[in-house]
Amino acid sequence: MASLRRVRRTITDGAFTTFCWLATGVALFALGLILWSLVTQGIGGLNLDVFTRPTEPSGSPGGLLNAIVGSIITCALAMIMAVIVGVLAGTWLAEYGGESLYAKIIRFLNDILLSAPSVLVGLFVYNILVAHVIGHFSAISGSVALALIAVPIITRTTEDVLKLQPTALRESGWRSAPLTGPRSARFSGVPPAAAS
Amino acid sequence: MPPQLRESGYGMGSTSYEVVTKITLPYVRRSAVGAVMLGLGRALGETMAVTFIIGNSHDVPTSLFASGSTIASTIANEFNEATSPMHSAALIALGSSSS
Repeated sequence: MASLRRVRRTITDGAFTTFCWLATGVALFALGLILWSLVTQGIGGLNLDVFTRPTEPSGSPGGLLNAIVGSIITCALAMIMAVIVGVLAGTWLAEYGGESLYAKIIRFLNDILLSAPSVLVGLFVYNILVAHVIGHFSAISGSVALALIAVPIITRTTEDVLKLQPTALRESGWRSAPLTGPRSARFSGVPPAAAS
Repeated sequence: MPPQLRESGYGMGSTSYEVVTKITLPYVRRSAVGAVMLGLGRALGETMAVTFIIGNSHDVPTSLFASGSTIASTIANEFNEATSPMHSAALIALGSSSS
């Protein structure tokens, strides 16, 4: 009977929708719980010393200044390296590489790097920079490792976002003759994509 | 995916469940598998979250409630203390085998 089928479909749909709501609820509940316990338990330990004094030996009062400064320096250096390489590589993949064999190989290798465990990146940079080129631990080695983790993500996102640009926008740059190659990418592709 | 695809599904009288399983998921299957693989890669390489809580024992645990170790946590724990070249070489080999 048609009505029986309809009842079955309605029940299946209701169960599916409920399950989706539950799954989203579990994820959001965990997120909310983490934020809530972070704020309620962390707010008491927050004072000026945290931001103005370096870490002292265990037991004596101190802050986290060294870690905060180190994070800022390392991340800034890493971002300088990663943004230059990543944005340029992503632009090349989207605007010039196309479906050529070279671009396909680069895209494949980039996807592998995208899922490389961070511990492996650390080992790699240790063996090259810390063990041989520089010879000791340093902020620059740390930022190179961070840059290696960030580059594949930036490359992939840049490429995806550039490909989302309407073809008409890109072609209007080509039609007005002087805007070929890099100028076309600069004027029609990158500025709208930069917002993303 | 193009909204027309999803809308034509609803236009034919499909329920949300049917649209999701018969139109949306097949359309994005490749990307969805890729996303799962990316997540797997992140979980496999995750170091600190596991190192904090797994216990880092040097035994193969016999229970899910016993402490153990993962490749990433072993490397993170022992790399600073590896004094002999063989020790660090072994940790690097362990890392390469996980990729």
